[in-house]
Amino acid sequence: MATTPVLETKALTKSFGSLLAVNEVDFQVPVGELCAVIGPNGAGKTTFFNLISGRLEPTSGGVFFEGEDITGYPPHAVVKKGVGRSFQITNIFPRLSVLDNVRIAVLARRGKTLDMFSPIEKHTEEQEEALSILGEVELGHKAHHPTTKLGHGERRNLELGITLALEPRLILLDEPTAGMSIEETSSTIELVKKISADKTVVFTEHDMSVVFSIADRISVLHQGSIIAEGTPDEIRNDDLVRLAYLGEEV
Amino acid sequence: MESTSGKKLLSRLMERIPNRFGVTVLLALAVLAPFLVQNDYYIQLCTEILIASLLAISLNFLIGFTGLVSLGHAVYLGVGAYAFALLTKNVYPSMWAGLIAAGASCALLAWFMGVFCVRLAGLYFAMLTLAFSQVVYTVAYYWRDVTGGDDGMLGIPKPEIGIPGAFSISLESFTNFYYFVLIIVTALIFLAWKIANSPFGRVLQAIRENPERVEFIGLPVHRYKLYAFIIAGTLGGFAGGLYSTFQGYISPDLLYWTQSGEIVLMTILGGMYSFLGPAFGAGMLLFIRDTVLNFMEYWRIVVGGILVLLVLFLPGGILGFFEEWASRLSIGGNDGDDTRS
Repeated sequence: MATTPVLETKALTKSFGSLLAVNEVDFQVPVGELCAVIGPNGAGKTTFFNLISGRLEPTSGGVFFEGEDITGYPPHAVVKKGVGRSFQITNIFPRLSVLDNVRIAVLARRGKTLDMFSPIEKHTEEQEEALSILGEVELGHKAHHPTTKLGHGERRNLELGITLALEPRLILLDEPTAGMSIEETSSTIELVKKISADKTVVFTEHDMSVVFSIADRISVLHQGSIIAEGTPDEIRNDDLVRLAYLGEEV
Repeated sequence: MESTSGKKLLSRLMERIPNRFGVTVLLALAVLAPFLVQNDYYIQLCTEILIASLLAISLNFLIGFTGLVSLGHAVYLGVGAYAFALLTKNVYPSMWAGLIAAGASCALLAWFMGVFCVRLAGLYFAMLTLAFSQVVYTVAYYWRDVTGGDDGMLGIPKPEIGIPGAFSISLESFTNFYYFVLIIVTALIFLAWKIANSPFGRVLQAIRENPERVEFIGLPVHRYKLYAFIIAGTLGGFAGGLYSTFQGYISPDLLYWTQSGEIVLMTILGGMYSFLGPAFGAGMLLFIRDTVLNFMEYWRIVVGGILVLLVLFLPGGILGFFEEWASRLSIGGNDGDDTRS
């Protein structure tokens, strides 16, 4: 059973008109790994994530989660299977409280969102769980604030909290440190490391120092195709990658 | 500028007075209203305001809660009214059967329309709801045999309520009818309030804030929107049934799109992010209509003027403004530096 990868894509392809955004990508993520997908802007990273998470339907090819074909599933069905994701542009519920942002995800996971007649506060178990998740993402003390009172980094953490509340077995993080200050970045990276201890994580990131310091494995996407895969060391020494992407500096 | 101790005192006061207090006062006023106004005409006006409150709150399930601006909500007012009239006049003159027919027919209609509407958002959703309601309007207008066409239907009864053989209460008196409407409307608004504060209600708010993210916490957004659509339609249908028996006369005008616009106005006037805001707006709109009509025909100019000022200066509506003001006071030192973007 250890041989089935958590996530596998087979010849996954997405074209927008004549543009091949993702081109026959074969990609595997073994259980428990922290995988980075890197590539220059426009390489197809976000499109690739959108295909896996059901936001876009592939033109051809397939997506398999724990061996099961989930190609073309709508996003909510992919989530129910056990895939959670966060977004490059912060994607939270602005006018709900910080607590409610996470609580709603906990209630959704536990199948309690069709309850129409009991007050939401009466679901104390879900509330406790939401508070403990907020603690994990360092927002415990701000649970009852409106999200408008959060800083940019805190909102990114809140989004991560929403995703964690779904207890996904696979987490897709699209640029978790986008737009963060240096301090925020390092604390978020610690968080990602902590999460990946008992979960499988795939993330994209533009900050190469982050990628090379925490990823178990790196895949390099270039013009929609994976041109190299391997450990950080292998990628660092790959001539093709240097040429296509990393330039002379690495 | 003002003395901080006074502000603190006020803030402490606001904390001590729970929300429940306001609702209790409101309910007490509603119960005492017939004694306070002592005038059949105003008792009638209060009855109409109650019915309009239910209607506006039902629409706000879509606008304020789920973020779906429907421009066809009059369809439920009209269909509920016709269902009540047709059943009580042609089948069986029972208040309860009439109201159930009004609610059930609108639930079915909302289900049918919702299947198409909830796939759309924004302007497209608004246009489709408008189109559906105009279709129903046209049907009511031309299907003379059933609806009476543009003559409408006359002589809709106010059947007495009670237990057959045991006791019965006549609703012919304005006061009795007022209390009957008060009980039904309060019960339904309470139900709506329960739903709004349940996990389901919070999901609707989340859909308003960010439908895509709701999809990505594993919930099928279309289905939740459809449920909201059906709840709003059903509650609106009950308002239609009550309106039918209240007026005793209905016409296709109830279904016309300007009527839908008026319900949207009520919601915005009172405040769509506050639960009772739309009811407040309904009261205001009808009160203004009534007052201004004594002086001139063009009461809508006054409403329009107020709306312009509101949208410019108090976009949260009137009750919404007061609630925000109260919550700011109760938070005390917390400055309200909301990021508006």
